[in-house]
Amino acid sequence: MASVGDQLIEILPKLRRFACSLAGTISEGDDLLQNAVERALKRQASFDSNRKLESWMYAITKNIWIDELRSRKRRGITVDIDDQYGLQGEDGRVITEQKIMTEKVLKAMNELPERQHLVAYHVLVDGNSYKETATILDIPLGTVMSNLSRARKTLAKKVLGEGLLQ
Amino acid sequence: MTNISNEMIMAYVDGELGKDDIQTMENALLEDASLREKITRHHALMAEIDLAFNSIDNTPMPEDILALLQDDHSTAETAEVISIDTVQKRTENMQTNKSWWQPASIAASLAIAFAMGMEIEGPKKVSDDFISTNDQFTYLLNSAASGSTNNGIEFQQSFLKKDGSFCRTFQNRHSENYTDGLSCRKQNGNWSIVVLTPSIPTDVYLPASGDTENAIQLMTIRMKQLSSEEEKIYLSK
Repeated sequence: MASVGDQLIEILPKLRRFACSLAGTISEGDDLLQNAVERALKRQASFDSNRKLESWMYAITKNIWIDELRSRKRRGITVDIDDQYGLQGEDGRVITEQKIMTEKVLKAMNELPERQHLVAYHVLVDGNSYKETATILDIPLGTVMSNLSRARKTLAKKVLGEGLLQ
Repeated sequence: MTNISNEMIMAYVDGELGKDDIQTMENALLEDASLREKITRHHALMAEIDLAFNSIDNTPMPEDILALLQDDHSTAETAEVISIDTVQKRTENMQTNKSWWQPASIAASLAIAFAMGMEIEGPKKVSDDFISTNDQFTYLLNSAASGSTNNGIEFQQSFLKKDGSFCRTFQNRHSENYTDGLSCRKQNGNWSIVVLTPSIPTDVYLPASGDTENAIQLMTIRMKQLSSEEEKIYLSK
């Protein structure tokens, strides 16, 4: 059977998306992902192989992020200077525009209440069905739909600058 | 004005409806301009989410993270030595082969499948790999010039996304209910449908603003439109 590390490689891009959606920026998402991978590798002996690695990693990542938020509350918010300025590439304008759009979406997701965020992530980003999402989050199907509906309305306002029509 | 609930609209764009409900929705979409506008906004939102998360995928994985996995692999008792490049390639492979599912693509795949007379039983989800395994459609996306119509699909314009992806707009005329689509070629050569919306019939009156702006326009406005000469270069790739 493949080691936890080997299995992690396979799901790393997915985990990175999840970490970025929690953190609200790519750079903070990458820091979060690194911490999650470190913790998982340290604790791999305790991983129950009957469990899905993805669920285990989602839980680790989410817990580290919750700890980080608590710690920030205590010490105040710090801002990474790289997040404040667009990267300059061959066409700095293009990279900046794309970065702004990406971070606008990530920030909008990051600001959703936790349950709405998780439901929106699993359905809209990870591509799970409503039923799969209900199973992953261990909540009723109706709760998935109501949270998804509320999340969508908020995301539409923040991302498109307008709500969804009612 | 049709009486379609918001829950049903959401389920439609998420690919959660069964065949009968999809048909009900698509019939309603033909009659109801405000419903089309609602669907368009849902697709526009999902397209933005899609772009944002693809942009994450297109950002190289930090080497520190890859190094952690490399170290772990190298210290495993039975492991052979593995280089960072190998780890990077494996994650890139996962990125490019990921199920680029996107709800719009799922709804789109279903709609295209039905429009092409293909049967999909039940409300199960279909990844866009369905489209990429549709050899005929893929072949046309890779070869048909804009302005041509082949097997009921009219290819309209070609674009280049800011990340360098080649994208094409098309109209699918396989059934009475035409649909307009935007498809982009992924790094691994497979195609994904980014947006698919019901075509607005030419005899339907639309107000001057708002309703005519659809998700495809919202997406392509940020892309570079290719000339026919430029398109040829990308078709041959």
